[in-house]
Amino acid sequence: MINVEGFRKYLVLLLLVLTSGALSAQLQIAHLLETQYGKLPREIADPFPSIYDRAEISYRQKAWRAEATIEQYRTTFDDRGYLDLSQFRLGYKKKKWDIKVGNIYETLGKGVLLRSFEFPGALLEDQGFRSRNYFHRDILGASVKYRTKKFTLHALHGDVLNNTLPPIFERSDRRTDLITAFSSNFKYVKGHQAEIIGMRLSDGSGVGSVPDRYYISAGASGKITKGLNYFGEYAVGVNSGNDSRAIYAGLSGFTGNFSFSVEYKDYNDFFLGVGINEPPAAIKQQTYRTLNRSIHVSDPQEESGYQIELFYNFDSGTILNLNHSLATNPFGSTTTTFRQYFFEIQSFLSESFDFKAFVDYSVDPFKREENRFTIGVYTDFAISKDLRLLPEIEYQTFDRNGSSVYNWSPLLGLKIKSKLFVSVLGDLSSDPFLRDPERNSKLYLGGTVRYTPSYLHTFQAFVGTRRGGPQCTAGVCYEILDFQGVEVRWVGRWKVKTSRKNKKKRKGGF
Amino acid sequence: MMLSRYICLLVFSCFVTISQGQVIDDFTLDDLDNQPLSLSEVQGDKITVIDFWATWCRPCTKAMPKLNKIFNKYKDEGLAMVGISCDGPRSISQVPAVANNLDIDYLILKDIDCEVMNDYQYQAFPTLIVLDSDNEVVYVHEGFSAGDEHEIEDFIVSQLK
Repeated sequence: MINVEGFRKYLVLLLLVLTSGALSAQLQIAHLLETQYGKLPREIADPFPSIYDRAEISYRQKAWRAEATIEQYRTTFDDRGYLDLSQFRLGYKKKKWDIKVGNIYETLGKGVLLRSFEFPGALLEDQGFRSRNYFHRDILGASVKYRTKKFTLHALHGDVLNNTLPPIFERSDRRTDLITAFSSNFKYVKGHQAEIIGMRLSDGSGVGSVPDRYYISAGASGKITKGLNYFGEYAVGVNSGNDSRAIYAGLSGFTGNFSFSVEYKDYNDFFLGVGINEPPAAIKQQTYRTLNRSIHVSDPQEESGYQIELFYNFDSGTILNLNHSLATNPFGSTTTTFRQYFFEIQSFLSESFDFKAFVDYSVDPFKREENRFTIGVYTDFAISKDLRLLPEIEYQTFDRNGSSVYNWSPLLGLKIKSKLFVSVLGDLSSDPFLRDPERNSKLYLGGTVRYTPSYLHTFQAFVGTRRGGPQCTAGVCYEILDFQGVEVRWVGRWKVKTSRKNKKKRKGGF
Repeated sequence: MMLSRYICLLVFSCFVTISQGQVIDDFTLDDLDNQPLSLSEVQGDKITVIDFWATWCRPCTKAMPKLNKIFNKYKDEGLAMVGISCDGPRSISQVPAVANNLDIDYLILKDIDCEVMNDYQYQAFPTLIVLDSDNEVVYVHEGFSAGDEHEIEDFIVSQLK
């Protein structure tokens, strides 16, 4: 087990020593500050102030790298606040070697056995704890990778973060899954590669009450012809009493203006630890607001299904996208089947006007949403060279327990160059889970101003009421709470370069 | 104790000399044929444009056809362009199809952990960076809306002269 406190002290000292000299190196600092004054819209308590603050310091010198992340949250409720050196990392990367120690991000295969991630700028706030923390799932340990043109060997050991628990919890509570893994990826023929992974999952809490579980996985991917690619991964639990298995495979290809992809999944007892893996959902990743909130979140415990996606690209630049996905989940004696049919068109009618429109029909018995029908139109008008108008509207309706529910989501945005963006977003819903019983609907209305003077700094202010709900980014879903009040966010970056040769004066940029 | 360390770091950060010269170190990623390629193998004679994108990011797929036009216009003048897909395990299989659908001629590399983008603390999709011949970042553009391609092209032209 790693002596975390000792190591952290050493790393902070090392950072300070290294950065105090003018060496041939780079120092980067990224800072996120978000302050709120508000509450949940239906909360009886008065609004309260809070501040979330995260600084990430990264130092690079040739093949070496040292990083540390400090995170803090403060509110008027002391039990929700913390100040934590939440990440540290030392790395060495040169030629064939990539070695990391500390808080690291690694994915094995296609994420069937293990996926860690970080989504920059995303914050988690849980309804129960009401503390706020960064949205990432890292591994505290070490990783060694050796890579040649023909093969990659990778060994990994560490405790995986349970990111649903904020830093107000002890490390032993937040990191109960200890993994040890080894993977070997080799390119056996040009354009084709195979991968074998072995992983042990232990109880890292130190209690030792849960027996170790062992998994192996084998996968392959490659190019059959110029326009046809395949991939597949099969993972299975190997020790007695462990009947876990997962299959994920697919084909993708193109000919002329036509492209397609087909994916198949079958997961059985594959929810590992407290959720250290993220098997691919084979469901379309939606960025439309209503569809993102309604997305099917896959259940690796027991799920099978497929996804088919087709694209057609007209020579005029118009793109058509058709998607169908199906997911089946047995729950005891009953089985639910999610179905989705999605159609989208995006077109550039002129230099000053382009649009996207979509239609979606879904059946989601798990959420008891039958005949869910969603449409939307997104447009982009150039009023002048520097001014663009961005009106968007989405409408959704479905039946739940015999009652019809609707959601409207209009947005009006105004963009001045790429520096200033002003928008007003409304969300009107008749969903009984959201509205007050004595009212027919619930309205969320909020305005946002975002100013980016340079890529180094972004300032954003929100005033009003914001609708929360599930949010899915890059295939990972989390819950956003509703909010009513004022929120100000500043994302800043500083990059320091030392001791490089003099360069010619730049003609522009930044 | 922790607070004092934090304050110390913040104070220190205020005293360092702020500049904007960031150098991208050589990295190796697989292309769509699963062949490893390093930045040093693909960089342009004069400048290299790197576009971080993902299949699920609408502004990214809106920007890519515009970038492709710029690439085809200036590729013989010392410009190299690389799209780095940050698609994770859930959507990485769709990268070849989307790239073909958008008719992209420039090189696409896959970074399933989005390691390169995170290493340099870029936080938005898409993020486009322009590197000079020493791999120093000389331009950054985050996000995309129609019309932004003119600003990007103007900068590229100024660097190719």
